[in-house]
Amino acid sequence: MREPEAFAALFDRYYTAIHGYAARRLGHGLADDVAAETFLVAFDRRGSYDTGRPDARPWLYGIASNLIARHRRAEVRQYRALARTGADDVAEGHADRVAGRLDAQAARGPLAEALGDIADGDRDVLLLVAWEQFAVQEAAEALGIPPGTARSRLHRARRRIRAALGETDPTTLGEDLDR
Amino acid sequence: MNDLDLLRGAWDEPAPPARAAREAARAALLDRAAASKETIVPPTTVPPATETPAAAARRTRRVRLPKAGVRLAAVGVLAAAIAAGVTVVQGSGGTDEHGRPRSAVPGVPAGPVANASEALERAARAAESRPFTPPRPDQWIFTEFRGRKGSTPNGPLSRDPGKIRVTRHWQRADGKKAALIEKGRLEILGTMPTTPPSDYPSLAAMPTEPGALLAWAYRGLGGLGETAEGRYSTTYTMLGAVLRDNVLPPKVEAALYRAIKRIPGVRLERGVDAAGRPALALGRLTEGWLSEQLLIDPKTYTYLGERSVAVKDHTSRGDDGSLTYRKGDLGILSVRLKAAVVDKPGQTAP
Repeated sequence: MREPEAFAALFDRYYTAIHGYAARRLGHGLADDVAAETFLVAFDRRGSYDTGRPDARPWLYGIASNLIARHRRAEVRQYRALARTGADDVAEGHADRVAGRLDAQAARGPLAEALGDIADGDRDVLLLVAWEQFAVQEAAEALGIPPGTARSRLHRARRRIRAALGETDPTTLGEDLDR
Repeated sequence: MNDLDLLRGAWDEPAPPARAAREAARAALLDRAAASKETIVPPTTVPPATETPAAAARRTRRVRLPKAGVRLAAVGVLAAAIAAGVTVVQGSGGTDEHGRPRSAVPGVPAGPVANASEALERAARAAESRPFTPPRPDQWIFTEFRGRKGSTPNGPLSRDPGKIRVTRHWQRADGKKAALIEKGRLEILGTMPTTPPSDYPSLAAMPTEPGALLAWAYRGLGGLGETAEGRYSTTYTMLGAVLRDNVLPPKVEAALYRAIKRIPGVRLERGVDAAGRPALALGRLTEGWLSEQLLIDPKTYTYLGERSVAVKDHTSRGDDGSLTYRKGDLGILSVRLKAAVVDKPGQTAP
């Protein structure tokens, strides 16, 4: 990777996304720190970056995930608060809501509660897949775990999420679980 | 809609990051990248000497000497005792519940700085984020310093902490009057033009683009700017003096830190303690033996003071005999306690 130009380009391309991901998990204040530090850490570790990879995105999200993990208690506390109030005082929302989103937002309380209960490693995989639309393979790469492990973590997390949504019909479980 | 879609839809799209946070993060990255190359980027513009010799000579006479009253013959004879065993206290706004550092200044990253460039950039950003009301022409700029006094003029400072003195100075914002305490009485004095300027109107009109500010400084050096090292060394001292003696508009202050960033040879020094307070020290080696340091508060990144330390034994010979410094001797130790705009001379708080 040619530096520092390459890093400036990487920053311009991914900073907003990384910041948004951290903001949803930790709120804006900590997201400023996490997003900034993600790129500093990435720079410091540039020697270990495999330049054969087509895309730096999983690598950056992996670093961000590790930094977010340092704020585990803050993250969980936030989900608990959200579960109680249903209100999102974290990532100030936009007012425009489309039809399906009303349902989704109504489900936020129970979902937040579930997120607070899920094991940390499971949550890392789940949120990369759900919020950042990573494929399981990419999430595994980001978190430095075998794809099989990522798949079983995601599976476990989704069971918990579905239970929170009141879904009890076992036949719907697993239909698209291995995405 | 499956559970993953619901989970995605249940959270609002995050608001975009604040511009200040983004810029600070980007600058921090580029600073680290630049520093890692371990090459020193020379200033981009070194203006040609366009002054007439007479004008240059006039300017030379007006070159302001360091505050300790060092004469030109003894330039560089300013030095200090690195307090042995002092640990670096590089913090920020305290720590969060996980013991991780938290930034005390909006838009400035938390955590320790890695190099001089990062420290100076944080100081610049902190300056930009401070609220500021320009002084009225009839108001006064008040500064208060605490420093140690040596027993020999220009010699190393005493190691006796009892010899600490506090000095206070006032300068009217129109630049036409100054005041100080002499034998317990307030004395009002007239002023003279100086290089660099010390009157608020001239300082507020300085370039706010770092390259232009550096070019402006180089033009004002007269005979001291004939060699590259002379230019760097004198400009470093000069810009430090502007930071030290004044209350400045945020853009000017930020530009000063960023101009210093471009002067070759400025390094982040560790293990520094200024008058009992922790500090980040930006040091530049003069004449191969004296580290001249600009001190910055490690939490708020505000200007803290200056200090100079001999990094090896050195004897300088002048017309009036010789002066010997031992490695570790302090030449200057001056910590700024206050810098504020007040209504009257003699007043020490707004």
